[in-house]
Amino acid sequence: MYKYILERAGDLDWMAIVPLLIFTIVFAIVSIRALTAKKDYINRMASLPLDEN
Amino acid sequence: MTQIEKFSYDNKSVRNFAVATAFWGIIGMTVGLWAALQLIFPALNFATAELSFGRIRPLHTNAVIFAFVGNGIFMGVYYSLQRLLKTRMYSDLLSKIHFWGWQSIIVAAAITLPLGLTSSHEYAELLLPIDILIALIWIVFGINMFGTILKRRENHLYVAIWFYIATWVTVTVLHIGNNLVVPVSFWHSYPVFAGVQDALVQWWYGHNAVAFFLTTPYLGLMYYFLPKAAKRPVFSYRLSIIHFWALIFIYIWAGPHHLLFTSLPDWAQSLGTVFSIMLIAPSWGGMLNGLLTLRGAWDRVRNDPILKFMVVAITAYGMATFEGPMLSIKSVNAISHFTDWTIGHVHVGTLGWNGMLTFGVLYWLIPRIYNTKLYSVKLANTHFWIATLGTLFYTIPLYWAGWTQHFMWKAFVPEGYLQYGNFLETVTAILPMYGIRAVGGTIYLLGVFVMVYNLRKTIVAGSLIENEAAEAAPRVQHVKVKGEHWHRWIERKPITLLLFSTIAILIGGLVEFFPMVLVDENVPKIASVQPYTPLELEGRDLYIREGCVGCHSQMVRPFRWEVERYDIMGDAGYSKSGEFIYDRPFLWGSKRTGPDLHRVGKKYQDAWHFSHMREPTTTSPGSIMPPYPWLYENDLDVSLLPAKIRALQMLNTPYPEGYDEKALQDLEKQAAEIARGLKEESGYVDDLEKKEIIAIIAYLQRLGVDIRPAPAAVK
Ligand code: HEM
Ligand code: HEM
Repeated sequence: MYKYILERAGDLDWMAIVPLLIFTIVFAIVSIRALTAKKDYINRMASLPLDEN
Repeated sequence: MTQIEKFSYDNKSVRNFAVATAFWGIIGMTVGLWAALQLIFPALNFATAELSFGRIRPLHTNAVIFAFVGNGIFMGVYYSLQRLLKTRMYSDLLSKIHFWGWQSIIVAAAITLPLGLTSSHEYAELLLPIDILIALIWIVFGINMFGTILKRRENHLYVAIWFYIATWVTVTVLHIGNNLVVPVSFWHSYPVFAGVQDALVQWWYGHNAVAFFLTTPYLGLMYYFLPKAAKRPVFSYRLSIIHFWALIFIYIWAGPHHLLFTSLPDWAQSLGTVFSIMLIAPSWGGMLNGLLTLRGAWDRVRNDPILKFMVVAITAYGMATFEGPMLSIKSVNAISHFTDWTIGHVHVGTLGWNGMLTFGVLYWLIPRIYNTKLYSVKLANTHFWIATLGTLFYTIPLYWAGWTQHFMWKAFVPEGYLQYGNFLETVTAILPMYGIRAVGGTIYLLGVFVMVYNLRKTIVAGSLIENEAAEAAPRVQHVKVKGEHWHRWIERKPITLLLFSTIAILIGGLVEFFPMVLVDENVPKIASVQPYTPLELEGRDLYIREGCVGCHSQMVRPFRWEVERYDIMGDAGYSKSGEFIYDRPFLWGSKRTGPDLHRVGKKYQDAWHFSHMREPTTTSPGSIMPPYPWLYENDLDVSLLPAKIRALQMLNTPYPEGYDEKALQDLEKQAAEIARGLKEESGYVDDLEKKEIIAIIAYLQRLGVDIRPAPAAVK
């Protein structure tokens, strides 16, 4: 199965590569930012639904 | 210390949307059940045009998606947005217009779809006047939501709100993109794109209707209501950030997975596959984030029906989003596409994820806004088990049916012939499965009635707090500090967030469409393919009106077993993209309850179609296709013909100049010819040439003819 998927991936032309690249970059930035965000900020955000009256 | 401000939350709108959710849920699922029953007992359409399967199938899908889930979204958004932002909805008037506007759209849909007023684009069946109304009401919702965001007292936008914003933007873009049409009359219009391009636009829409109507807003609801019900914050807020961006970014590209092995260019199909497989990651990230929120609270899950509903909903979400990427792999899609496997997948998502989450939210929210306790926790528990059982009874037989059907479709005997050359054998084989599915649907629906009873009792016992008092400090405007965290900056600025999500979803859409629309070579022309004759064109519009596309595909895929079955004459092969260039809209279909029709032209005599459409069992014993007696009574309405020709000419269909004036003559001539043939053979009724059935026959006899080598292609 995975072989088949990989073979198929060879059909991609630049039209498909560009979006993949863009996504990879966006994903990398978002992940780094999210993972390095300060703990107290994250905790405060996470508690937003709970801290109303 | 800052001054504390007093204000109130609008619960009345929430209540209204909640009632509408339950009400339309029952209506939509009843219609679904009815459709399910018609597949076993075709007589249940009472030979009435308005009640026939092809017309009520879209009624079901529109009612459950836009009325049941739609109102569910608004209920959840109106409740959570106010509380997350510590402010009342922006405008009570807009809330009212939104509510009543949306309900009137639903009523308009419930009237027009049975009348056969449909665009035939799945999940976008409604016609232009209603589409415009939808756009207006959607904008009202947008203004109300962004107004609320702008006057908020809480600086930070919780992740649920991002999902709401992304939903709003994307649905706006999708709705406009998929409804680009050239109007012919008040109701009638032709899509700007034809054939393959129309298909691509439609499934870019259709897929994202699933993604941004059934998924992202509900993920927003999950991120709010699950922590509320569990009384603990979400497992990982960091994960939710990644979940959000990855999901909306990838979702938008995956549309072509609905068109694998069709005439869509290969690169577009591969793109759809790759992005669909990548979708597992954010989807499961979201699911795990939901389930892990309950870590250490599983003892509560055992006793609390609300949490149970939510757990099963999130699990179903996980199953559907694991299955979906699998279905996007070409070799798996070769099996699932056009079969009941798709229908099974759909209902794991909708009954499991959307249904269960909606029920959970309703049980949580109604007692709160009515300032009372749920009438019966026990009944809610019962409902939970009923709903779970119903979902299982609905979906499992359909997987079985889907696989059975596929393997029967492609079975060859050693001599090289199809083992089940008669398509009908592959239908009757799965009727018992359809029976069990209908039982499952009944059980599930029963559960909804139990819920309505329980909530009704709850409502009577309490009293609605229309304006719930609240207080909060006014918002402190953040001053941007140097080196401030990027993400903090973005979530503080709703407009920026809006912009970024728009860019994220637009990139995907544009990369898909532009090459298709601009690069001519993507749709190789076939010289012998000619525009439809006026009679065929009218017949095609009747095919659309009757919703034939709900059961019949027009797409022979490039498999030996499909070509062998459908290309009876052996000279046309599988469907080529160049064959569809005059198809507005495209009619490839997504479910093959009946056989493919793309090569049906000249396969049978006119007289065969004439008998078959009146009573399918006369030519095909055991068929579950509904009869169409009204086509034999109604005169064909040709009043729009000149306008239709002109609209198509505007879209570059090469009818000769001034043809709009001559079209009627040609139509009458062709009709008279067909009618003469039928009369000679069987001496049928007078005025036959004027009846609708003649146009449908003309259209059916044209399908796939052009691509055959001469002389068949001479028209
Ligand atoms: C009592 C519950 C339900 C029953 C009995 C039911 C029944 C059906 C039936 C018979 C079909 C047509 C299948 C075919 O053509 O072979 C269908 C299609 C569909 N239903 Fe349901 N349904 C139910 C609930 C729902 C809900 C709650 C939703 C969404 C929130 C939903 C969404 C859909 C969709 C999107 C399709 C079209 C699938 C496709 O074209 O691939 N259904 N349903
Ligand atoms: C990662 C997530 C998902 C992926 C990649 C995915 C993929 C797919 C694929 C490949 C098909 C079959 C297309 C075809 O052969 O015609 C399909 C059909 C469908 N899926 Fe999903 N799916 C996902 C999640 C969901 C969820 C959560 C829901 C519902 C809440 C859903 C609702 C539907 C519907 C309604 C259809 C039928 C469309 C039609 O043919 O009318 N999907 N999906």
